[in-house]
Amino acid sequence: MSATIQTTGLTKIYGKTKVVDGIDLDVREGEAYAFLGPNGSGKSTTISMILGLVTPTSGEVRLFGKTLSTAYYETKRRIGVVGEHQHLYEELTANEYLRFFAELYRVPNRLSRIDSVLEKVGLQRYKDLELRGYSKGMRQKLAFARALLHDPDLLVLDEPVSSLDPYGVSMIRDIILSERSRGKTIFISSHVLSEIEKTCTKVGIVDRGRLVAQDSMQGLKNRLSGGAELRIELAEAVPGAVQALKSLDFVRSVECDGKNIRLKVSGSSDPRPEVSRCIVELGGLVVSMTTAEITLEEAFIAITDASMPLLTQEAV
Amino acid sequence: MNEPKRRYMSWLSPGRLPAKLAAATASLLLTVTVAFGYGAVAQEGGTAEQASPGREQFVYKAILHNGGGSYIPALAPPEIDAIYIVANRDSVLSPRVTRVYFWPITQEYKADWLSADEPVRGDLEIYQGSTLIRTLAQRSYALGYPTDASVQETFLYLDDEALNRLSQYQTEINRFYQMMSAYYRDQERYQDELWEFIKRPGEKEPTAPVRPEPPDVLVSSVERGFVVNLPPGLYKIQLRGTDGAVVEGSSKILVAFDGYREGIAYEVIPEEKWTMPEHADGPEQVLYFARRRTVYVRPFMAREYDQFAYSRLCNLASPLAGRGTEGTRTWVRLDPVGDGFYLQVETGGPGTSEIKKKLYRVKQHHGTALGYDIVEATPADAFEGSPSFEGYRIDLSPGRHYTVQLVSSDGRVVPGSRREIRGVNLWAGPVLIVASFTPLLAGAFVLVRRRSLYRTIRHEVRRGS
Amino acid sequence: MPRTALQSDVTIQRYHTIKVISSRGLISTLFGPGFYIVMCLSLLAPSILIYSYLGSVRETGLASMSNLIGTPFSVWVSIWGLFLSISSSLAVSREKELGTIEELFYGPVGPTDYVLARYVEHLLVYLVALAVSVCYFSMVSLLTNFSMSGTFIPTLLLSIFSVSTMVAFGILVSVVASKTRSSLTLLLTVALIFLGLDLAQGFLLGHSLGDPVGALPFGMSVLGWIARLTRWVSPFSNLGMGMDAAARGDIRAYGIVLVHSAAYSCAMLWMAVNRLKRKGVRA
Repeated sequence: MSATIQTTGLTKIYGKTKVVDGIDLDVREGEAYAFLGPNGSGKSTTISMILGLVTPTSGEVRLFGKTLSTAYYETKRRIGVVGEHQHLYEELTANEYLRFFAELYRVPNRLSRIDSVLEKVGLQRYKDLELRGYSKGMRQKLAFARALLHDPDLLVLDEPVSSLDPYGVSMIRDIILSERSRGKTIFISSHVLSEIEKTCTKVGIVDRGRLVAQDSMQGLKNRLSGGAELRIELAEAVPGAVQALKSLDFVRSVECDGKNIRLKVSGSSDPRPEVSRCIVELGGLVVSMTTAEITLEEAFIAITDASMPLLTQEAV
Repeated sequence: MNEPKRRYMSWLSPGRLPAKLAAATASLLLTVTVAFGYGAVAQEGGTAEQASPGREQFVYKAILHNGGGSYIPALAPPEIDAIYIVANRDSVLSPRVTRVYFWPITQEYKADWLSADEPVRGDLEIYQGSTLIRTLAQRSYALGYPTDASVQETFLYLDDEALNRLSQYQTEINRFYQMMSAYYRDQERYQDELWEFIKRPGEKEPTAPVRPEPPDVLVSSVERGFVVNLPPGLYKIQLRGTDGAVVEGSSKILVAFDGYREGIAYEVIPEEKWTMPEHADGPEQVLYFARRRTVYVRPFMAREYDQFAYSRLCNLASPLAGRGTEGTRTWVRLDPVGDGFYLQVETGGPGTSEIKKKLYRVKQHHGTALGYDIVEATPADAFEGSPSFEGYRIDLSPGRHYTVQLVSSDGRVVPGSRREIRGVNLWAGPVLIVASFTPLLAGAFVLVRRRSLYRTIRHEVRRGS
Repeated sequence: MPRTALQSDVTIQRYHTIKVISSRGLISTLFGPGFYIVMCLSLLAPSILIYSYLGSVRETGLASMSNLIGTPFSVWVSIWGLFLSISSSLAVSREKELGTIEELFYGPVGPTDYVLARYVEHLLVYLVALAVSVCYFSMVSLLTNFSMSGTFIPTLLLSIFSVSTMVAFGILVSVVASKTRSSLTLLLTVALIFLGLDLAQGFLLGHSLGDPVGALPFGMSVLGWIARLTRWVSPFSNLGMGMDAAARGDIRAYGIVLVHSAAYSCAMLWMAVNRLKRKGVRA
C-alpha cells in the first residue's frame, strides 16, 4: 500500500506560538484514518497545511507521493474535502452550486453525476432551492455531495457529522463505509469518537501541536489498556487457581476475589479456551466468562492527559 | 534574503495600512495647511490692492514673437526664472535696470520705465546643458506697427534697417504733420467757400480738400537688445558684462517651444449678437445650434501649442499664468486667412455649395428701439464708413448637419479647416433621462423572475413534503 | 510525463479554472441588483450632462463645443471604474470573510488562478456594461444629433485599460486586507489621498497671490510635483491622461498610457498573487 498522505516534520509557527510541531503523518492508501485531538491542538492547521491552504513554516506534505508545488492540479483533483464550517454561495441553488464545482473539477456527465450525489445525500428534492434557505444539516450534506462529486481518491473530512441528526449521521457513516469499501482513503477529524470507532481503522492523536499517538485502532487500545481483561465467575472458589492461571504464558496478572477472578491477558488469540481448560482441570466450574476492552474515548482521554508520556510508535 | 520583502509586506499588513495611509493623508493636509497659513500670514502684511514698493533691479525687456505675425511686449524680472519663446522665430531680449513692482490686481510684475530705464551693456551667453552654444552681441531693433487696424501683423526691424525705417518714418510723419496742417487750413478755407456757395448758389461749387493718409507703418524708437532665434529646446542664458563678470540676476532658463499642428480656427458671428462670436479653434470643436439662424464665419490661421508654454509667453510677468495647464495643448488663433479662398459647405445631401467671402456692415435701427441689421457692404454705402467685418455667410436650418471647409481658388482643401455644424434636437434631453432608468426595469425583471421561480420551487417542495 | 506536457496541462487547467470562476462571478453579478443600479446611475449622470448641454445650446442659440459624447462617456467610465474598484476591493476579502474561498482552494484552484479569475470577472462585467453603453451613446448621438467624435473608439479601448488598473488595484487591496471593512477603508483612503491632492492643487491654483515670493507658490510647486508623480502611481489617473492624448491625436502618449495601464495592472496582480501565496486564504 502506497502512502496517500505523508507529512514530514510539519511545523507551523504563528508569531511566537508553535501551533503544529513536527508532525509526521502516514496515511496509507485505502485506510480510514482518524485524526483526533482536543480543541486547539493544531488539527485544523494541520489539515489546512495538508490541503495547501496554509503554508507550513517548515516540513513537507506529500499527497499521493507528490508535493503540491510539483503536482498542484493533479493532486487537488483527487481530493474531496468537507470542511468544519460550510461556506456556501448563498444566492445559488444546490444544483447551480454543484454544477459550478462539477465544471471546476471537470467532472464528466455532470448532470447525472450531480443527481447521483444529491440522491446519495438525500437532497434531490431540494436541489432547486436557494442555499440561503438551507438548514445546517442540509449544508453539511451538500458539502458531502460536493466532496463526492468528482469521485476523489482521498476524502478529507473535518467534523463531518457535527451538524447532523441521527439519520444524517447514519447516512454519512454508510457513505464513508461505502467509500472505504471502494478502496478510497478517508482522513477524518472528529470529536464524535463513537462514529470514528465504527468507521476508522487507524488513529492519529495530536495534542499541543505534537502527534502523540499513531497506530491501528486495536493496537492503540491494546497498548493503552495493557491488554484485554477477562472476568471469570466460578461456581465456587478453586484453590490453586491463581497459581495455575499465572503459569499460563499469555496471562500478565491475576486478581482473585473468592469466586470472581480478573485476568489481564496479552496477545491477539482468544485466551478463553485455555483459561477454561485450566480451571476445569483444577475441578472448578466456570459460570460465566466475559472480556472487557478500553473504548476509543477512554484511550483518547488517557493519551491527551497531560501526565501521559508520549505514545507514538517511536516512543514505544 | 527575505528581510526587505518582509518589512515591505509588513508595512502592508491589513491592520496597519489604513492607519499608515491616514497618517500620510494627515501629514499631507498638514503641509498644505501650513503652506496656506504661511501664505495667509504673508498676505497680512499689505492690502491686496496696493502695489509692493518698487526697487531697481536687472530685468530683460522682451519682445516675443507670438508664432503668427505679431510680437508681444514682455518683462522678465529676477523673480521669473524662465522665459518662453517660440522656436525658430526672432525674439528680442533687452537687458535693462529698472524699477519693478508687483501689481496685485492683475497679479503681475510691472516696470516703471519712466522712473528708471538704464540699458546694461554686455554679451548674452546661451548654454545648452553645460555647453556654451552661442554668444550674442546686442543689436539695434525697432518695431513697425501697421496703421490699418485690420492688419494685425507687427514688423521687427533690425540693425541698419531699424535705423533706416525709423529715419524714413520720421520723415514721413513730419511730412504727414505738415500735410495735415495744410489740410486743416484747406478745410477752413473750404468751409468758408462752401458757406459762400450756399448763400450764392449760382457760383462754382468748391472742392473739398483730400485728407492726407498717415504713413502705412508706425515705427517705434530704436533700442538695443539680443535677437534670439533658437531651435526647440531648453537653454540657459546669462549676461556677461563688459567687466567679464556675469551680471547678477541675468541667469534664466530659456524655453524655445514649437507648435504641434497647424490648421484653421473659425470665429463664428451669430447674426443676432454679432459682438459675441463663438470660436471653433481646434478641429475637434463642433458648432451646435438650436433654431434657424444665420452665421458669419471668419477663418484664421491657427497653430496648436503647449498651453502652459504659450500662457507663459503671453503673460511672462505673471507668476501664476499657465499654472495647472501643464501637459495640455491649446489652439492659438494667429492671422486672418487672406483672400483667394471660398468656404465649401456640405449638407449631407448630394452636392456642395460654395460661399464667397464678403464685407458686411452692421446697420443700427433708427429710432429709440434697439436693434440692428447685418447687410452686405457695397461701394454705394462707403460714405457710412468702413465695413464692420468680412466673412462667409451661412444660413442654417434646424435639425440639419453641415460640414464646412476652406478651399483655395485652385480647388485644394486647406488642411485642418474641416468643421461640423450640427442642429440639435432639444426634445431628446428628457427622453434620455427617462431612458436611463431602463436598466432598473431590466434588473427588476431579472430579480422578480428569479424570485418567482424559487418561490414556486419552495412551494412545490413544501407541498411534496 | 515530459515537462512541457505537464506545463501545458497546468496551462489548460489554469485557463479552465479562470474561465469557470470568472463566468460564475459574471453571472452572479448579472443576477444581482448592483449591476442594474450602477448601470442606471451611470446612464443617468451622462443624461443629465447631455440635458445641460442641450440647455446651453437652447440658451445661447449657438455653441462651439467638443467631445459632447466623450465627456459624458468619461463620466460613465468613472462611475463604473469606482464601482468596479470597490467591488474588486471587496471581492477577495469578502470571500475570505465568508469562507467560500476555502471551498474553492480545496479543489484545483491556486492563488494565481483565483486572482486572475476575479480580475477577469470584473473586466467581463465591465465589457458587458460597455456594450450597453455603446448602444446608449449611439442612441444619444442619433437622438440629439451630437457628434460622436473620432476619439470615441480610442476612448472605448482606453477605458478598458483604465478600468483594468482600478480593478487590479482593488484586488490587491482586497488581498492585503483580511476584512471587507478594512479593504474598503484602505481603498477609500487611497482614493481620498489622490482626490485631496487634486482638490488642494485646484484650490491653490484658484487662490489669488498677495506675495509672489511667499509660501503659496512654493506650496503650488510642491503640489505640482506631487501631482506629476501621482499621475503615474494613481490607478485613477490613466483615463484622464489617455483621453487628453486621444483628444490631441498624440498616438505616442496614448500608447504610453495603454502600456502603463497594462504594466500597472500586471504589477498589482503579481503583488496580489504573491501576497495570497504567502499569507494563505484564511481571513
